[in-house]
Amino acid sequence: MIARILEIARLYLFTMYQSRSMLLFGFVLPLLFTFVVGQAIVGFEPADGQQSWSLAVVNADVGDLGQQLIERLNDDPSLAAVATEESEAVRQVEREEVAAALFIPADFSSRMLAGENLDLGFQMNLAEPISAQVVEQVVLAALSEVNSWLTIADSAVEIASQIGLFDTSIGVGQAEYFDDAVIAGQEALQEMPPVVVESRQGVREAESQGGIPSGVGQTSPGMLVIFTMFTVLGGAAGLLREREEGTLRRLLVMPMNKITILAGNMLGMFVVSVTQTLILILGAVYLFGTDWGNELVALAIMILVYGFSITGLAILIASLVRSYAQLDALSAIIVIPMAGIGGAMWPIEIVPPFMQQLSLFVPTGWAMRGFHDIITRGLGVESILLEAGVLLLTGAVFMLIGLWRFRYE
Amino acid sequence: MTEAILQAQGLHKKFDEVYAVKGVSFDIKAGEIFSLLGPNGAGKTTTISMLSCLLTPTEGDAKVDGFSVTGEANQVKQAIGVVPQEIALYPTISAKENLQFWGRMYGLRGKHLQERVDATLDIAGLADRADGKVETFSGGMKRRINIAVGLLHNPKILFMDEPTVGIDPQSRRRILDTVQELNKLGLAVLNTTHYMEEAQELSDRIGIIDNGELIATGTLDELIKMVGEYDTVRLCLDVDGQKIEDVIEPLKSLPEVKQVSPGEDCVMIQVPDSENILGDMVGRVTQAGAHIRSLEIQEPNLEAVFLHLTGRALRD
Repeated sequence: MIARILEIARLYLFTMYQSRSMLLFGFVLPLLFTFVVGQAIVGFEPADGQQSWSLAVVNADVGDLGQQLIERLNDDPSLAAVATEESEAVRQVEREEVAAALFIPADFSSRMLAGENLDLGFQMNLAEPISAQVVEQVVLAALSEVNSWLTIADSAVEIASQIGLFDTSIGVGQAEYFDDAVIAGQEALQEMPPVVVESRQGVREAESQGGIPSGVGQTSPGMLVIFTMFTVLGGAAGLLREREEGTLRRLLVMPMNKITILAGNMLGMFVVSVTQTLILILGAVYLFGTDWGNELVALAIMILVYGFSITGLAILIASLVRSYAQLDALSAIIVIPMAGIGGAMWPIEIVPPFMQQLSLFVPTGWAMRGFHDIITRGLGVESILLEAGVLLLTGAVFMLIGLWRFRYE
Repeated sequence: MTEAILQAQGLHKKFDEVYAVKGVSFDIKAGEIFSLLGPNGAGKTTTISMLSCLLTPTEGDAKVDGFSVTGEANQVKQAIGVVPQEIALYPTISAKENLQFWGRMYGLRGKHLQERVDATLDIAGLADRADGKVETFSGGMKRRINIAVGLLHNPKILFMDEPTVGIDPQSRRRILDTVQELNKLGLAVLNTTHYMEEAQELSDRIGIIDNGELIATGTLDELIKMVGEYDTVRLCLDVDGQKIEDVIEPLKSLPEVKQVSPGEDCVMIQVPDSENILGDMVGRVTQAGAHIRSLEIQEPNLEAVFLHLTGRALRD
């Protein structure tokens, strides 16, 4: 049985790679699309040294802390905080020219100094929710830092007061002491932050923006997910053509089990998908400099389980359609929406939340999540186990239904 | 007495509520060529599919080389070679690669496989085209490779389903010669066809099948004896559908006429001595207002047998 399965798989691979259309549609076109589309969506990506996000700031504060907050925001290289009028800030948000707008009230300094609660106005650009959330985090961090300066200064004044510094005849005024303590606190925090938190969720800057894949970092996994699915579905269509042309019927009169025939073809499809994926990854790495990360074991697992999953899907679809022509015509109708929903055509992070939820129902969605964990987020085996498990399980279910339902004649 | 290599007993096959094959029973002796003759849709391919273990009989069973088609499929498949009606080959690889692949599917390996591939290429007369891609072959050459695949594992009986459909006379001649040569080497053959001449020339025995039923079996002589000494006169008329019915009754009224069977624009008439009543028949047809386009007298043959048994012409 094994020898016959291998022989059927060998014939499948031989006839598949013999075809010039495989070279064109399997390798040339996906690499071309990886590059061209990658250039088109490189706009997600900040150019070196430039700010990624713009923040309109309306500073109505009568004190100094509002201005200090703006300066602190501009210390972040990924943010451009620009002071403007209220109406202009609202207009910029509405026209999606900035990620968000920050409104600093007139009593900002006095309430901060008094240690009172206060509300800052923050208007998000809803077209870029992820960017706005990142900007909001930067604003909160800056506010926290300003608050830390004041806390340091308060503590210094309180200690000085306890040791009677302001009661002596040295002439030290409490207000001047507080201002000096604020400046000292700023310098101290800049030189030696009290706690450094290094986030492992961080961004691979070269090919993403705030965790959103862009450029060839998006199109390389995207195109391989799309085109390997096309190839494997083409293989399933070939199986139906064999049924129509009689070679499948002839195989059935050979002394072997029916399952052997499908197993051989599925092995062929799986090997084709894996080799195609490897070649597309190597092509993207060496031709376009795509960074596929350093987690080779995780990558190998994802390649294998994705190949398994789409092989199962192909057999399932082949068992449901009537003819080769029907599957041939349906391929694009199946693959393109699945690619769109799964985030293979654009980053899933930029679509509305319900679409992101929808991506959990297609293998392309899990495949893209796994690949981006490796490429964009630089994560390893432990992080892709869920994606790999889902793909393995769905592939097995698809395959079992396909084997059960497939009509040999 | 020669032992039967194939014995079919009461084979039935029902699709939905329709019987495609109804109670077919026959046997084939070792080294015998047996043809199933019948029009398209008669049940020939369904019968051969049951014997090849592709379809499970609704009722009945068959034994090939002593193994049951319903319970010992793998042993049956090892004993039979099947040549399907369609060209079941991979067109983009060579004839030799096709044979090597199919040989491996039969479990052949190594030197033995190579010997069988070479031998079957010789039988097909295509040793010099072994490395040519099948898609570049003519229809006849493809048919010959199609047959060669069925011979790779030295089967005890070869099933051929309409092996000469759609090919030129020269290729047909070559295929029939090949089958006869293989038969001389002891290979039993089950051949299905709707070509009367092919069955007549090739077969040791013939089974006539119509509407799923095997209505007669025997040698050519035995079958022709069923018709007696009747000639068949085939009259083709320049008339419309209404008038061809008009000539039936006048012809039937002639006392010598045994049977009149209308076709689309021809009438088949069975008479004991056609030459003596030819004038009367022509007169009756002319009187009925019909114009005779052609007239053909056939000696007793399988066409006449089929007509005799079914009331219809085989070619209709």
